[in-house]
Amino acid sequence: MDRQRGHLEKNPQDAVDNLIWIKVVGIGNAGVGKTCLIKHFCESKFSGGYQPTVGVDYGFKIQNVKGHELRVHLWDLSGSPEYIDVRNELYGQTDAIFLVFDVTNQASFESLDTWMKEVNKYSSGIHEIILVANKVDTKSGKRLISTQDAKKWASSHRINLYEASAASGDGVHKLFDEMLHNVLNKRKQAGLLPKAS
Amino acid sequence: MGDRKTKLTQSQLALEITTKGWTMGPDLRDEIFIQITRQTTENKKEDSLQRGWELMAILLNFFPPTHKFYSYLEGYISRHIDTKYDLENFSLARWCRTHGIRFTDIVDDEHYNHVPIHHFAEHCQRRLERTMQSGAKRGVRKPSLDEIEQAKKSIYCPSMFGSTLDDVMKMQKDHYPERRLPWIQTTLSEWVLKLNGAQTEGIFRVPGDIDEVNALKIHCDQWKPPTECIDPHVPASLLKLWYRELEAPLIPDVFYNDCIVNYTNAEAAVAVVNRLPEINRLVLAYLIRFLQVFAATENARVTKMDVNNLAMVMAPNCLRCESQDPRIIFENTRKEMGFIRTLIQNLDTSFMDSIE
Repeated sequence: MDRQRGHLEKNPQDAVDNLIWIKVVGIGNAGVGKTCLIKHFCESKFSGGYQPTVGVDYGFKIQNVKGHELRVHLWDLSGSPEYIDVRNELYGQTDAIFLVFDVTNQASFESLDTWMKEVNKYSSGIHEIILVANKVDTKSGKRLISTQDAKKWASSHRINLYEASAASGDGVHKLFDEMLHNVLNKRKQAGLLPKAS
Repeated sequence: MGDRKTKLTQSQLALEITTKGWTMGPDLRDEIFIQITRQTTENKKEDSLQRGWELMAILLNFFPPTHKFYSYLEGYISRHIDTKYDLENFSLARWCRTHGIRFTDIVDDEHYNHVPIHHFAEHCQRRLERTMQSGAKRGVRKPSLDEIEQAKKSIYCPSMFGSTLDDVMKMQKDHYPERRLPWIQTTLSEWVLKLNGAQTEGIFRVPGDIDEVNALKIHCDQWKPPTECIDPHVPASLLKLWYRELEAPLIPDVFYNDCIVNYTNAEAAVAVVNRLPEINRLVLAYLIRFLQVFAATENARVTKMDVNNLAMVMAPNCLRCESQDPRIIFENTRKEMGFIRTLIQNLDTSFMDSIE
């Protein structure tokens, strides 16, 4: 690098201040595929293994959206009711939530109302929430929740619906891209964005 | 009690008083109890009298009086167990209906027409004894409205959920005097197996339909087995809920650290189990024996719930971390899970064969 010894090109503090950190939280019943969606987004991998998340897991990815480098933390909260205390501690400072259900599991769809209640209780003020209908690939089993039903629920809560399959990868990048896009726009509107480099 | 107009609901008021007493300490607590005893003495207004006793019962869920004041309060409460203090000219039958309790649980005489102060007093007495032993509610999180509602509900609807193991055993004495294990525990466990839970993918991980679980909870509180249930996830979810909601954790707090320290040491882990109070030991051994069935390879292959997964979903139902520090909670979560895994793999539960 072409610089004077002992002098960084940029003030490191400025460089740190200019980083954009985004916190995303995934919720939904146990076994709907939150961990798999995050894994696919971060590492483009799918593992058919069956491992419940203990309390909380974590994914990280640097994603370029409209010339901004976003540092995205993905918090993968356990869906088990046992871990409600852990979850409640972690909702703070969240930029976006993706709420997941499994289209082959009726109960996971019916629990969405309960999840929205939890969101409203512990993380009010988050404006970017999306609904993800996971496991739409045909291999996962018989689809029980139609796109129409899911759309109806989503629009009654004024949020967007995305269909995805962490197994085939369909729709995964689209949902995260659009979600991050919206988060970025909102920050822009609020004037909270450093200049794009 | 409730005599002055206010915009707050009764539960909100109760929460305010509870929080004050809980945070400000012993002197204020005694003062609160003294005020309530005064307000419930010679009070001829049904509603007001009942609210006063209700508030006393709620408060006793959160903190005790000082030792100095204890004997006075105990005397006051036990005196009111006598039915002569019950308020007259009052439809007890209606009162029971509105509070969802069985008339016969309170009195034998169907023409009885008083505010059943003795019912409140009995409840308060049990609460008082317990809180004197356990002390004020622990932790740093202030009492919540949910906890107030739960405390209030327990006055009117004694439930097998959210009680202590001792209370559960007392409750079932009339129904099953011979049993050494809680009926609710064995019944729900057996139904999970009956509905082929040991061959159902994600058993104990996938939650049952929340409405069905709630309905089954009410059903079971009337001592009825879950005969109409077809989905094993429903009794499985309720079973987990029962363990989780026990008033004191299945493995009591005083043993918590031993579990965390010895989570990979089979011998020490088994020793912890043997030191538990008898009822806790039996209930835990039954649970571990039950989980051993699921951990067997031929079942785990189908359920995808191997010993690690089983331990992961069950540990938070057996152990409760007291800390509020997220880092400690995370660190301990894996150790709690390790402890349960060690038990599933090493605890000899054959002695449970003849126990039911």
